[in-house]
Amino acid sequence: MLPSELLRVKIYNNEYIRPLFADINDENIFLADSMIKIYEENVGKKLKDLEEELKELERFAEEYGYDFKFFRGLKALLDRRLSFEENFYSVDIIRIRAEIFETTNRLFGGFILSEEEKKKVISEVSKKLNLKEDQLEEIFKSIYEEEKKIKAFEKINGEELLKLYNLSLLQTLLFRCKKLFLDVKASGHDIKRLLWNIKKLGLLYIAEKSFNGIIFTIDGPASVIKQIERYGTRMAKIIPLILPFSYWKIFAYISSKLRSKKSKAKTYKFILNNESERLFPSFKKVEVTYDSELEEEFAKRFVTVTGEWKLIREPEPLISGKTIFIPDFLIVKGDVKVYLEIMGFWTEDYLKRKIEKIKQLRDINLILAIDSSLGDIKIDDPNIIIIKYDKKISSFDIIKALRKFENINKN
Amino acid sequence: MLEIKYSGGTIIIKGDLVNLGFPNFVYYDSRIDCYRCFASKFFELEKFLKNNNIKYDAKVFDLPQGYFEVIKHVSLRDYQYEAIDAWDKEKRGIVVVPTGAGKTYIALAIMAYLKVPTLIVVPTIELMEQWYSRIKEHFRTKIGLFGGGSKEIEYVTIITYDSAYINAELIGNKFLFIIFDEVHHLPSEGYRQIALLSAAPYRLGLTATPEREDGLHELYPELVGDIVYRKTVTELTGKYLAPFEILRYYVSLNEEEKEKYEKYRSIFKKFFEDNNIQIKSLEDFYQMILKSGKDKKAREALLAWNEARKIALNASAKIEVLKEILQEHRGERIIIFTEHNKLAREISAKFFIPEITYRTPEKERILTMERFRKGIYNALVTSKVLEEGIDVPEANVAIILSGSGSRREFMQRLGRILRPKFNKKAILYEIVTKGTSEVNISYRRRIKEEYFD
Repeated sequence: MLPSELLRVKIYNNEYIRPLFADINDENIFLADSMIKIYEENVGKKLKDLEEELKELERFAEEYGYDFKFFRGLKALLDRRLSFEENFYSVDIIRIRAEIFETTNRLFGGFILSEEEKKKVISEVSKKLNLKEDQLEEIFKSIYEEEKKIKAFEKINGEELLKLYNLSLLQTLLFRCKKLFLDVKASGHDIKRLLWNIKKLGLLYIAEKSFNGIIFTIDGPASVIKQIERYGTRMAKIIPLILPFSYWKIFAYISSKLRSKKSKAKTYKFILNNESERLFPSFKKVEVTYDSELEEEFAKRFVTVTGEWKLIREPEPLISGKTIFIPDFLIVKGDVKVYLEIMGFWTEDYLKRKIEKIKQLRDINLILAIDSSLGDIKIDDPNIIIIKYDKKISSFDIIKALRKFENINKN
Repeated sequence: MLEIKYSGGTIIIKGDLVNLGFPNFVYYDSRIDCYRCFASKFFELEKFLKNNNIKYDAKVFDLPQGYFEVIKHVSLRDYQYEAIDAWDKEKRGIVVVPTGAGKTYIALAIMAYLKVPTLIVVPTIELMEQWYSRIKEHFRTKIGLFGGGSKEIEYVTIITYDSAYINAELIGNKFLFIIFDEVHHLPSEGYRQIALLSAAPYRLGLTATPEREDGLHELYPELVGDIVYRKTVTELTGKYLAPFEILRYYVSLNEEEKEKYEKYRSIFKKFFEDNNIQIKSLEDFYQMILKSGKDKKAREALLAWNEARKIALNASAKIEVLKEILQEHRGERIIIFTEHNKLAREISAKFFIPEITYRTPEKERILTMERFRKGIYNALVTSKVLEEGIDVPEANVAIILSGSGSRREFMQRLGRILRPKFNKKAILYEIVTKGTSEVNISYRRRIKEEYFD
């Protein structure tokens, strides 16, 4: 994400807004690489040396026709990759400065007004702290940020930098998002992660089936009362999660005050889909992990005994009312599809909500495996079979239930 | 029976409301099939329900556990009592008194009788530290600091506007009393959410300068309450505030600066003329900045304007005049204000005067403030950071270099020396550059203005 003054956008037809993404072409890569080179060469030097060189390159880039905001956007991202020598803000520098100020006050009542007075202060302090006089003045100045010494620069190449810039630009645009629509297709696991993040960020969603997958409409608790500029930064944080999905489309309402600071904000539309994928960083697929040992153990055992039944972990989500239900497994044989949900632990509230969700599912075969120590559940629905288990889920019980569904299907 | 609970800065109402003729601040939320309103409306909602004999079960507050005991009584002046009486009628509203007139004591006195979990919202870390030591002095309670790295919620919590904005949902149901120090910050687009997403019924705003240039002060009634008490500088001067005098110095640019200034001036002037632009207000200026994002010529003009301004603000002659002034006040308590960090630093290095800017490391800033308060340091140079409400009670000389002349800024800077503890008349110096866009008055004239007699 970038400071909002570095956002670059274009308005189309007074209706659509779009960030000015950087093309991943040779020219842009050349600029990015030149900047990176300067960062790399200045490791071990002072921050002010780096700034000096960058200023020159910026002037050059601008003459060449680059937008200074583009340059500074790249710079902002590169600055974050710097680390500095640690002892910079050490107590010592502060103590030495304090000694200088204190001596100045004691000898001259608050300040020095001549070279002579300065000499007296310096010589007294240097004697007291056992430091050389010229060293003392150097230390006095070393408190300033630009005197910081660069310790390291986290590597990146030009192409990666441009992609990172585009992602940051997109996120910066979304700071001012009032309502976000995500049309996506992804595995149950990926959707689960997305929803978990939406919830963690204090946002709300409703889910609806779409032609390609599911549309999530995302905004915040207070959005229904008034469109407040509050949830944009959080929506921006969601974006990296959907970029690896096999299909994604972003539709957003962006409030923007482009004309002048005082004028009223206008709402623009923003649309982007996975055809623009190449502009953005590619994220590594996250290894799918099991929610519990129970599930893992069951899955491993089950595949050895199932024959034609195929077990799929965290399949594509199901829509239940306005929310999402992601069963743990989908078991398939030919046309027959049966979902399996394992309930190993719950609170009463959780259970209530889950059953509420399950009841809203239509035309779906579901096996609900529940821990027998957790009491009784009754659901009156021919498409749902409840089996109880004790510590381990019996593959035999599951297969029995699967056969029942198979027979229903045949009839 | 309606079920009412707090959720993410809002109030959720579950139950059948269709026939109740609900007030207009309650909205139906189809996402969860419930009703919702801003947390700030909770007490209005309760009033409505009680008046209409509607049964409800509310689980809204999650207050921090703790104790609260007054260990040192807050002694008040007449007008401070008046302010508290005025506020107490609704237990909401804004108190406007000049800087230095003891705003904090008004708030402490109210805290002392409410004795409820309290949140104090302040604009800067300095103010946070200042409130902390005041509260510690008067009350025995748990104090939490929230902002600048720490994240504590205690019975009395002091938080910065920035942290309160970011964490509005988290803090919204943890306090019954909320104090907005320097409340003129509150109405801005982001910060106002702190008030809207909080369920605290008791609200107090404090400021010397409630009016905002953008007119957003009209939001106060909804966010904090009306202005319930107001005293001006003139009403309090003499009896409670030290009178002070303003001396203004005008300096010229030297030859080199003049040449540079003219060079830049001709660039932006040409652009203004070619494009028929007049910079008369801040609004015009924003227009210009917006334009400069796309138009290369506009950007050049803006850069030139900026450079010219820098030259005017940082004219070397100012340092010379500063030196003269310092000479007259050796050993007195002096604060120097500059517009830019660069000038503050230059002054610090030249005169060995400790500086405080937003770039000063926290450790040094705390040490410097402490030592200045204790009198180990007599002088201090600062760029904008100290602008607001900071207690620097012992200063009697303020020197403003390159002041931008905005009303609020000016008042607040004056506030530094408006401290009644001094028998001595306080002096405010202002050093401005003549013949630049800043001013246009003839050669180094010294104008003396007696402000308050």
